[in-house]
Parts: sequence; structure tokens; C-alpha cells
Amino acid sequence: MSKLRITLKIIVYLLSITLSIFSALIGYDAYNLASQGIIVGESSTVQGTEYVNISVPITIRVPGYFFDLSRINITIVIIDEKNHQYARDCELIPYIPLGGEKNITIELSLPITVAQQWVNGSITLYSKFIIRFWFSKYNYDFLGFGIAGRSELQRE
Amino acid sequence: MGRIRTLISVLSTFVSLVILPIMSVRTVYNMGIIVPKFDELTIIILGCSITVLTLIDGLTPGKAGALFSLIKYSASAYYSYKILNMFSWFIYQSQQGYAELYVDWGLWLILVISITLLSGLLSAMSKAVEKPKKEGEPKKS
Repeated sequence: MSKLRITLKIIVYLLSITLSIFSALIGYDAYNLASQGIIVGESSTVQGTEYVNISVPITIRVPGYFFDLSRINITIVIIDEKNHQYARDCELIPYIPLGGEKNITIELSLPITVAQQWVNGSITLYSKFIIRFWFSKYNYDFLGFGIAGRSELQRE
Repeated sequence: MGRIRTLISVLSTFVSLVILPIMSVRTVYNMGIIVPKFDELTIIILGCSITVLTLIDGLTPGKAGALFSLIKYSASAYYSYKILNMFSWFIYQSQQGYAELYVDWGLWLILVISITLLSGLLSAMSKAVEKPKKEGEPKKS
């Protein structure tokens, strides 16, 4: 009876240790991804007759210790103060293994009339960056994150 | 010795289930991060309930103790479900910009609840098979 009790207690301790280890791994991988996993490069602009085309190169790295990334959805939207959308593009990356990286380019087409209004200072434009992804392992999606950030577009 | 262990267990439960979540939300609020779904009252009620159950579980031996152990772990599983759902949306706003973080606990939430319930079952079983302590010498008739 005593041996059974000790065995059961050991299993309970092992289960709680497993949960703690997994929590630490999630925290570690999330910190690494946030600090060095998403790199937004210098954007380039090409002016056409009707649209201004903006290209934003983005590199996604998986620098963690345990989890892979899956179902990564990156979206950039150009909006005004009233949340009216002027340009939008998104890219979907199905899977990046641990230690891997993937380069993508987001292409935004902003109407030239809007761009001119923005240059004149008659409207304020914001870029909204949205990224959604899952921490996964062995084809199981464990934990999903969605990050959305908005910042004002700066005139040069 | 058992009572001291129970007291330590009660104090650590109260600190980790009530004090730490409330203090951490207040700390991040001072840094400009809002946790919109966080409900302080729910945390206090659930955390205090689990603390009381921990006390009863520690002081009650045998099969009655096993039942309280099972109830305590079930309450902990519900607490985990509630608190993880509260910590699923964060907003950061400053003069430079605005950012939001969403967390979908998905399979992790199921894993946490399952492991907590399994731990509760095993802990209750281990308590149920515990031999009762002898209290002094048996009476001579």
C-alpha cells in the first residue's frame, strides 16, 4: 500500500514538473521570437500612374529551443484615423521548423491621390502590422499568438 | 510536521493564486499594458476557495481527505481555465503607437486542465490508500 502511495505521489510530482518545464519552454521561445525572430527590413517605394507601390521585406526566424512555428499569417494594412483601409496585403507561411527562417515581401498599393493628400499633410496615415502564428511540435498546434501593432507613417 | 506542511502549502497557494496574478496585472498596468479581460474579483473568490480547500485537504486524513483533494484539484483546473482565458488579450498604448497581443491557449489549455485533473485523481488515490496513524497505545480491556 505504501509503495502504491509513493508511486502515485511521484507521478503527481512528475506531471507538475512536466507542466512547469513546458511553461518555461513556451516563455523562453516566445521571448526569443519577440526579441530576434521578426525582422522588418527597409521598405522601398515605386511610384506608378495610379498607385504608389510599397514593398516591405520581412524575415521570420525561429530562434527558440523547442517549438516550431506553423500557420504564420502576416498582414500589413494602411489605415487612417477612422480605420478606413487604403492598402492591404498578407502572406501565409504554413510551417517553419526550429532554427529555420523564411523571407517574405509584403506588397502594398496605395492610391496616388491618398499618397498626395498624406504628403500635403491633409490626412494622417498609420501602418498596422498584424502577425498570427502557432507554437507547434510533432504536428500539434499548442499555443496561438496574435500581435497587432499600429504606428503613424512618418513623412521624410 | 503535517500541520506545518499544510500551513506552508496554504500560504504558497494563496500567494501564487491570488497575490501574484493581481500584483503582476497591476505591475504591467503601470508599464502601460492593459489586460482587458482580467477580473480581480473572480481571481480573489476562486483563489481563496482553493486556499480553503488546500487547508481542509491538508487537515483531513483518509477517504474524506481524498475527496477534498479531488475537489481542490478540480477547482484548480477551473481556476486555470478562467485565468488563462483572462490572460488572452493584452493592450499596450503609448504616444509612439498602439499594440495588441492575443493568446489562443488552444491545446495547451486542454493539456493543463487534463494534467491538473489527473494529478488530482492520483493525489486522491494516494491519500485514500494512506494508512491511518496509530494514536498512542491500544486500550486494554
